[in-house]
Amino acid sequence: MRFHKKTLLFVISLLVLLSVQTFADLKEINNIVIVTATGLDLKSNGKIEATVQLLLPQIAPINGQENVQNKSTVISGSGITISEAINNIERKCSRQLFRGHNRAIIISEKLAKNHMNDVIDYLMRFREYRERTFLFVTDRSISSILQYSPFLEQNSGDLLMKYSKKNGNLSATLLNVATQNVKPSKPYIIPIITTYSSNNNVQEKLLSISRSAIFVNNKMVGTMSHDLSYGPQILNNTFWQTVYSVTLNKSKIGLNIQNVKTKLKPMIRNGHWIITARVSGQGIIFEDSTSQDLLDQKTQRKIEYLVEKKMELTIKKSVILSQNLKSDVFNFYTIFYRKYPLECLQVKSSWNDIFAHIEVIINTKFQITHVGINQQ
Amino acid sequence: MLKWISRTNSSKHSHRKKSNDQEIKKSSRDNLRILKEAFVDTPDVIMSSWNVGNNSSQNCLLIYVSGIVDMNQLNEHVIKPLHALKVNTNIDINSLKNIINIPNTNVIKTFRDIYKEISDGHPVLIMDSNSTALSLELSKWQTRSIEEPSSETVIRGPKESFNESLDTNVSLIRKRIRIPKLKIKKIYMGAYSRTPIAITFVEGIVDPSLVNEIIKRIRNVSVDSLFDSGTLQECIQDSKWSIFPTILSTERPDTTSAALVEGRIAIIVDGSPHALILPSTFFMFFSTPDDYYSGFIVGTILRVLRLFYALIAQFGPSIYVAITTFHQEMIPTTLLVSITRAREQVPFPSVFEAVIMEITFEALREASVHLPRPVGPAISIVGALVIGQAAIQASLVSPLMVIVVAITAIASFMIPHYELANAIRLLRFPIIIFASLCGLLGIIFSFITILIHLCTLRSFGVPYTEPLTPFKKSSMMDSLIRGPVWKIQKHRRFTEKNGMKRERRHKGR
Repeated sequence: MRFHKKTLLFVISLLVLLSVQTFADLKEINNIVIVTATGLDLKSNGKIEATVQLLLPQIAPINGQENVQNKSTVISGSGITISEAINNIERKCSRQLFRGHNRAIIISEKLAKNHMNDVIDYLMRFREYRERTFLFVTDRSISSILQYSPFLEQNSGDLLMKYSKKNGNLSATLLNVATQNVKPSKPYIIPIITTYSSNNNVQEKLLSISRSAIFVNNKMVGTMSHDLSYGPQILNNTFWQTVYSVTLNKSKIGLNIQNVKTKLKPMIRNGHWIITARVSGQGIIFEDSTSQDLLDQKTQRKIEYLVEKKMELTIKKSVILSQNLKSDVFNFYTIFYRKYPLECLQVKSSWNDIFAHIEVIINTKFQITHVGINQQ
Repeated sequence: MLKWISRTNSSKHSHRKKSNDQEIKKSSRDNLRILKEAFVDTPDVIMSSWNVGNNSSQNCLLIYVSGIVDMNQLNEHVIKPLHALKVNTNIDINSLKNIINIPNTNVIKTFRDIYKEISDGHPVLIMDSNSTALSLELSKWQTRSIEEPSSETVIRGPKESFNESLDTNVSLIRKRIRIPKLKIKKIYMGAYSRTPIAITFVEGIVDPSLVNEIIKRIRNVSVDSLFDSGTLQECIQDSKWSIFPTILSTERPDTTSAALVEGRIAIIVDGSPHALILPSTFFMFFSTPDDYYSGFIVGTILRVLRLFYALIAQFGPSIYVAITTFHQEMIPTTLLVSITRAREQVPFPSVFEAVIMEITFEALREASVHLPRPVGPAISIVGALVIGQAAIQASLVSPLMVIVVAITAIASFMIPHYELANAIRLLRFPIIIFASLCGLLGIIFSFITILIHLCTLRSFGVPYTEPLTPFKKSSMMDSLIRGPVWKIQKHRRFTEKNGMKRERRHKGR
């Protein structure tokens, strides 16, 4: 009897304790509003303006016949800190903002140039944001991007997420940025989105990733074109595929570049920091304007040589650009650290200067694996 | 409360022994008088007396209960020979045995025995000038024929099931285990019902102490009546306060025989088509005869499927509640959007919604059990409409909740044994409440609680969660998975050490 009383007491107290602790987390689904994208901007008076894209739930028709389009709306609020700005949005809203499904975080160029540190800190500290939220920088007004309604996806947040997830596109998640943040000089790349008018319709605007922003020490210092950003991708072994066009004997050839693998070999010789990159890859010929014999080994070798040179140039250009900006987006520090930990620790504080003078030797080796079916 | 119940139980029974212990008198007139006193207002008890012999000197009294006696045989082999008897002297009981052509007769001495025998359907013959009587085993009870099992149907496998007759049930087992080592111990239970119970086991495989323990427990039970094995199960099972059944009941003779060969014990209660199998473990409730008859690959897949769906049956609605009230980030965005859209007009929190729907489903299930057969389809249509269509149209529940309840319902019926399914269905409700209080944490908490409880359970000394905890490699082949027959049969005995040794010794002889 006494035993039963004790267990009962135990269960009740456990229930009370647990419920007191966890009732705070209770969010009934009818009381939340889903945030699909967040935008952060720096206003001219020094305040931060936060804009959220909200998904408006529409009441489902009872028959389920009609196709209901989800509508989105955009609300913004400003404050000295990001959290204050978001709190100001919450004041205007009848429901609790739920950012567990936030797809994209768009940061204005102005904010990225000055206060990127605060942004990353806030995003990492606040638990609702996912680590795999995609980050973007924009040079356009944030509300215009958030209000943009794409033709394929439900809203621009969804669009940006799918766009970044698609292999081969530039992307940076919160996780990528946070892991880069522990490295000396904190280098990372975040894609820049812009809007542009389509040719036949001036009113209709399209979103696209045009360039990428390069960061050093949580400050945006420059940009890199889309083509050049293949350089860091290749050297970091995150490259997926692209199409190269080369011209051989007045014949235009389109190749699909795949299976690119890179081996990096660091070396310190007489105080010279040298890195050797061996890039190998495969190409599939998609297109050939004059019908030459592509099965001929010599022709193949010529095409391969052109591709090798083109890729080498891309990498070299991107290395020079980032060395000028002193942003180690290639993660050379990690590669050197694995072989020369002591030397690396010594120069950790002045890594940017070392990085700017690293000699990068690139060896590319390409092979054409398929030439396609010859029409003749 | 426990103590109070046990106290009332023990204080109840003190038999009226004295009056019935009278010995049979030599004078048949006295006997008739005593019997007439005992059987007042019992028109089904037939007492007929006549004189036998050449000079009709000896009186003979036949007493039986009509309806449970094989009258043809009684006429043919008892009454006719007695009438045709041509002797001059009084015959005693031993010579009577030679006159009547009945294989089974018992000599009885007291009136108490007479009452017992005629209740069992055995006519009793009392001869004048003998202080003993002869009971004739000529009982013929009205029984159902052997039919297909109603609750444990199979696609492949024998389609016989037990019926309400103890003799038939025992014979069905005997048909499957044809060795003399199949032992049957008969015990009578119930002060008023005097229900015969057969404890069956295979000698040499079974642990003898287990048999003794069961007999001891059954003797300790004192009930007035016993009409089904369910009552006995409740009285003799280990954790009486647990919701989980620790004794498996089956209406299939093949399942019972398989258990006997494994070294388990089966208890068959007269009047009940369900045999009790003990000791039984948790995973036995997930196995069906189909597993064993349809190949081990299919058997294993089916069993894993059943275990998986048992988890869904247990946690389905609570996971829905937890995720929609605490962990919205776990739902894919598109799904969350459609859930939000569907729930927009639902006036209740999702806990309430879940509990309402589950109770409605339980009500439907319960109603369908007790429905008169012609009304069945009508109610199921109403149920489907109420739960499915109307509730959604009236915005009482969201469509997703209906899907969750439906999947849970299907899952709970995938558990082959109804007792365990009931336990799991009932436990669902506290888990939903926990989930609504603490989210997934609450589900994990209740899962751990259930696990701890399962680990504490014993079924006649065997841990309930065997062979997982304590881990027993030899029986693993037939628990979560159903291994190939040649691998199972090797380690079939759950009383392994004992059984294997004994088997070998017997083979040597």
